Amino acid sequence: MSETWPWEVTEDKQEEPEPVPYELNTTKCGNFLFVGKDKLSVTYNNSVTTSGAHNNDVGAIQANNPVPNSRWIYYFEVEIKDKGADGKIAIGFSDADFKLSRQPGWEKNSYGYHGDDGKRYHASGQGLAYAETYTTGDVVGAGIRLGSQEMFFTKNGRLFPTAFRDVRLPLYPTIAVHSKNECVEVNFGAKPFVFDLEAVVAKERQAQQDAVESFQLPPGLVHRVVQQYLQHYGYSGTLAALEASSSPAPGSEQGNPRDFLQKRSEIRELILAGNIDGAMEELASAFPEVLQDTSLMFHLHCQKLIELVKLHSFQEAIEYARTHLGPYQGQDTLHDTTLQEVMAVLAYAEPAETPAVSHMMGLGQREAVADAINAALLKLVAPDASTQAPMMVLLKHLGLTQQELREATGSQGEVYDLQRALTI
Amino acid sequence: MGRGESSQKKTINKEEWEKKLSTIKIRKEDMNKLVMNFLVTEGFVEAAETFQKESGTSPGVDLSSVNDRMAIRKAVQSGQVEDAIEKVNDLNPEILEDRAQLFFHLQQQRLIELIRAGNVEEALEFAQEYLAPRGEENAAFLEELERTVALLAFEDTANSPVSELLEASQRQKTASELNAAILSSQCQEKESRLPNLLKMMLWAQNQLDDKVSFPKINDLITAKLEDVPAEG
Repeated sequence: MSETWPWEVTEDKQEEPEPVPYELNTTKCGNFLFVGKDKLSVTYNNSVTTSGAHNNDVGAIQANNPVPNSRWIYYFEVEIKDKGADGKIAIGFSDADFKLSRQPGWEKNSYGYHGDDGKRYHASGQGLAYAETYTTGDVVGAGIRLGSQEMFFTKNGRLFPTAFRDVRLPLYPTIAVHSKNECVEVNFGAKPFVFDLEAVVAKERQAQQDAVESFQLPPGLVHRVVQQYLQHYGYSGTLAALEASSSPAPGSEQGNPRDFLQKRSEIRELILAGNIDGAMEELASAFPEVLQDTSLMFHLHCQKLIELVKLHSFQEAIEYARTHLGPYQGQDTLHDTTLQEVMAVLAYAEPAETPAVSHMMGLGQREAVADAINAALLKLVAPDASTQAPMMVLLKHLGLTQQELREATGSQGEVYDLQRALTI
Repeated sequence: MGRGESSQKKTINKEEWEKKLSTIKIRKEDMNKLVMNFLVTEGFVEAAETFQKESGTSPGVDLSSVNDRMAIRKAVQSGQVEDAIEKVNDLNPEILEDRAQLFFHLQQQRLIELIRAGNVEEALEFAQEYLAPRGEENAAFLEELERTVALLAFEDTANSPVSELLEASQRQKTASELNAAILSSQCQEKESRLPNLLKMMLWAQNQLDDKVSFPKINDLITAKLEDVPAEG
């Protein structure tokens, strides 16, 4: 059925907030670790060896939840309380199967920035040149730009260049210590970060906004899109006023037959004013074919019923329903459900105040019926014309392109909220 | 090219795209608001009033203030800068008090209009009395002032290096700056929402084009989906 059918309520979807890492996962962790009571600090506590511990003696630990997906950047920090014997400390990310007796970066699906050599590690015991070493008193951070799938690290608030690309979730924030008395404290964002995350996000957002702004629209385009919209839906008065107060936009076709714009507009006005009988009379004289369309007539009759209820003419409403809506019963399941919903307005003394049915009592419902009639008329008088106003196609195309764009980047990063972008 | 990425672009054909498009819901009410936002921001007051009647969409602002805003814009565009300043101050004196740069640009425009009218003496007096003191406070203002006064040095201003100051686009620029300031003082966005959404669509299309073959929209007026180039 057409997009514009009334009674189709679009639900506002409420999505569950994503879980975020907020403490260390103490149910599984590497060797010789002492985890603080607040589950935000770890100390390496191997009394057997003081240094040069075995490569499988690493004490790694992950956050309790994986990196949340739908944001611009995910970021956390670690403060080095004590570099211990050797300062063999690492910060990074790893997947759920990561061996917690190893340094992040040594294993596949793990990444790390190591304190003792300042190198970056990924799926190898060989580090790559990256940044500086870090030690007692330093604060280092690890972040992922989810949309662009880049991992980066920071030290004492300074941002280092991208360390790894094509980073795919799911990953857990991971830290590791590996020599006697090494102690670090992790900050998942409960305290302010040393690194100015917000400023970096704001700067990157602005850069994207600038890139968006750099696209030029042909002169007069927006004007033309609005004109088409007004013409499509039959807002003839607005169209006339707009054209009267502006020079014709380039490319606009003046003087074209307007697909019975005036008639469509009159019928819209009648419906919007709640005058369904008037609208039906107009339709009967100008477009008698439409009266053969049972679906359209059904919706007009439903609206008439609603208008009678609005006037508190309950008796008349019931009679109207029996005469005009009864015959529809059993013909079409969609009609049957709709009929039931509409009849429900009779059950309430003040339907406009009743949440269950109030959406049918407003101006929006009249508009929806007017839109449905308009769409049917357009199909009748201009069968070749698009069934949708170009503006609607453009906006849907925007929504779908953003959706596909996110999917093409591993379904990571912020979700473009078309509904929010449209809400003024 | 990164690990795990193939050089073969994914293809979404027109039929699939159209099917997916039909799952995206756009509320009529929201489109009506976009149209109203366009009419109000661009100052089509009569059209906005009619649209309110025809669609039941609320303009969200006092339409009479839109009329004031358009009158001010018109005044700058026709060279009546003094008149514009007076009208802005009637509307809300804080607009100019809080914006030194805007106020300077308006005074500069006034000077340009005096020079255009050939009132050399008056122009000089005005420059010395009102503009020079501000130029002393701000290097950028001083440079602007010098550029403007330079107009006086040329008999044939149209062929001078500073001729652009006399073009309609200069008035337009000043008018737009003032218009944006008035909008922001009323907590409104300085540009209507629709063009930004359309630019966002062009941007997203461009981004996706790197990764996926899909039917693009190149002609925004017809909003027609282009054919997807054949694979290969």
